[in-house]
Amino acid sequence: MRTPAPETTRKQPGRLSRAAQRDQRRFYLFILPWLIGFVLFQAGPMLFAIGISFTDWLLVDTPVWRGLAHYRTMRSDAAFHAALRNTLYYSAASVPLAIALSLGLALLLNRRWAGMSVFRTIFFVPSLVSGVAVVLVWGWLFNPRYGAVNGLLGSLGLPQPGWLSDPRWAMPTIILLGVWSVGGIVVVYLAGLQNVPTELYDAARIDGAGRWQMLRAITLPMVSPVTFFLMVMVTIGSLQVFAPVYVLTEGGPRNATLTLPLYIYQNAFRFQKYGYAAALTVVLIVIALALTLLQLALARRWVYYTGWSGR
Amino acid sequence: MKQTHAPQPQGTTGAATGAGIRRFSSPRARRSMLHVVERLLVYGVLTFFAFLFLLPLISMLDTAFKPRALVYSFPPTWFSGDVTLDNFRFGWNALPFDRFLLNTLFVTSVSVCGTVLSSSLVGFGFARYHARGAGLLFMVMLATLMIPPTTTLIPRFVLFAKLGWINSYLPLLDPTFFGMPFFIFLFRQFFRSIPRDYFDAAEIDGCSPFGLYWRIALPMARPALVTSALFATIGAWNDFLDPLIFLSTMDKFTLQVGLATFNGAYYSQLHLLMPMALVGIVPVLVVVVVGQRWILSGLMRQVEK
Repeated sequence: MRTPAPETTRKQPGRLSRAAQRDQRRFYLFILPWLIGFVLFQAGPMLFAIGISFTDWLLVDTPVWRGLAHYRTMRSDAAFHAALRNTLYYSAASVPLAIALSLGLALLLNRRWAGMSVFRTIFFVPSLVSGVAVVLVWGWLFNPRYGAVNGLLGSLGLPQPGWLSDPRWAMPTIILLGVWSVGGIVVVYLAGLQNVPTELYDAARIDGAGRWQMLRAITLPMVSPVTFFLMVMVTIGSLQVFAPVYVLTEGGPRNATLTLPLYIYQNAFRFQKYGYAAALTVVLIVIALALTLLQLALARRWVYYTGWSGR
Repeated sequence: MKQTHAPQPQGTTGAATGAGIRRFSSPRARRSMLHVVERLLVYGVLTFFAFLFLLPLISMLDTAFKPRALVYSFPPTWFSGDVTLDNFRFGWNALPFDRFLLNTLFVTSVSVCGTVLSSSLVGFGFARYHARGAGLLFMVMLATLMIPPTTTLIPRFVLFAKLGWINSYLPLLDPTFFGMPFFIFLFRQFFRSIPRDYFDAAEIDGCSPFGLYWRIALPMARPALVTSALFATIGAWNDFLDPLIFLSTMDKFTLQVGLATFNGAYYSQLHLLMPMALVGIVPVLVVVVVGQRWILSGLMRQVEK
C-alpha cells in the first residue's frame, strides 16, 4: 500500500492512491460546470468562428465553402483598413495614457493624509459606471454647442473643437471616455504600492537616495509585475470598444471611429454577412493573441520578480 | 477639500516670499516648509483631477432637471435652481421604460445568482482538491480572462439561433451558470485562506464533498460572496452588446438597449437624454458607493496573483 501523502503519490506517474483518485474525481466534478461552459461558450465558439470564416452563410441555408475569399476581400476593403487602424490607434493611445495616469494618481494617493479615501472614491466610481447611459453623458459633455467642455473652453478663451463631429477629434474623444474609467487600475496600483516593503525605502534613505531615485530604483521595479498585469488586461479591453462608437458615432464621421468590434457587428447583424464577420473575428483574435504574446516576450526585459508575495 | 490643509497656509505664504526664506533657514524649518509645499501641490493636483472626473456626472445631474429652455441657453448656466421633472416624465413615457427596468432587474438578479453559485462551486474545487491537470486547468481558466468576448459573438449567436433562443433571456442567463473566471479566481483565493482543518474535521464527521462546499465553505465566504455579487450586479446591469444582439423586440429590452433605442429616436432632442441617462447610472452609483468597501477588497485580491 502506498502512502496517502499527495507529495509522494504525485511523483509516481502510473497509479494513484485511492484517496488521491477520490480527490481527483471530486475535483473534476466540482469544476465540471466551468469545463462545460469553457467548451460551449469559449473554446468551441472560437474554433467555430474560424470555421465560419471560410464560408458564406445566412444561418437559414447551408454554408457555402469560400476558402480564403473573405481574407482576400479584406485586403481591398477600405472600411476594414479604417477599423484596423482605429482599433490599433485606440490601443496605442489609451493603454499608455491609462497606465501613466493611474500610476501617477496612485502615487499621489498613496499617503496617509486626510481626504485621500475621498479622492480615491471619486476616481474609482466612474470605472464601474459604464454602459449606454455613460456614453450618452459623454456625448452631451462634448456636444460642440451646448456641452460643458466647450462651455469651459470658451470661457477660458480656448478654441472649441467639434469633438465627435470632427474626424480628427472624434477618436480622441472616445479615448478620453476610456481614460475616464481608469479608477479600477488606480485601486489595483494602490494595492501594489502598499505591498512594497518599507524597509527598502528606509535603506535607500540611509544611503542618501532622493525621492526621484527611490521612485526609479524601488517603486517602479517593485510594481512592475502589477504594471505588466494591468497592461495586458487594459490592452485586451482596448480591442473591444463598442458601445460608445455604436451609440454616438456609428463609426463616423468618415469612418474615423469605426472599430473592429463595431465593424464585426455591422457585417453580421446589419448586412447579414456572417462569414465575413467571422473572418474579421479571426483577425481580432490574432491581434489579441499577438499583442499578449508580444507583451509576454517584452516582459522579461522590464518586469522585476522578487521572492516577495502575499502568501 | 480646502479645509484639510487650512491650518498651515498662514506660515507658508510668509515662507514663500523672499523675506521669509531667511526666517526658515534652519534645516528643520526648511523641511517643514517643503512639506507644506508638497501638501499644497499634491492636494492641488488631486483636486484638479477630481474635478475632471466628476465633471461628467455633475453635468448630467445639472442637465437632467433643467427646463428645456435653459438646456439650450448660451452662455450655459449651472444649477440655476430652476428644477423640473418634465423632461424625465416625457422620456420615461416615450418608450416603455418601466418594462425595461423590470427586465433588467430580472436579468440582473438571475445572472447574479447563477454567477455566484457556479463560480463559488468551481472555485471550491480549485481550492480544495489536488488532481492531475488541476494546475494546467487553472492556468487555462486564467488565460480565458484574456479572450475578448467580442471574438465569440458570431458563433454564440449562431448557436443560440439554432437553439431557437433568440429574443429570450436564455442566451444572457445560461452562460452565467457555468462559472465566470474572474469570480472563480476570487472564490478560489478566498477558500484557500480558510484553514484546511475545518474541512478535514467535517469530513471525518461524515460530511459529503458537496456538504463541505455548501455548509462550511460558503457560509464562511460571506465577504467573497458580497464582493462577487456586487461585481456581477454591476456587470449585468451595464451589459450592452449581448442584450443588443440577442433581444429583438421592445418588450424584452433591457435598460441599456432601451437607452440606445431612445437615443436613436430622440438624439436631436438633447434635453431628453440626460434625465434618461440618470436612470441608467444612479442605481449603479448607489450600489458602488454603498458597496465600495467590498468591491475594493475584491480588486485588491487581484494583485496577489
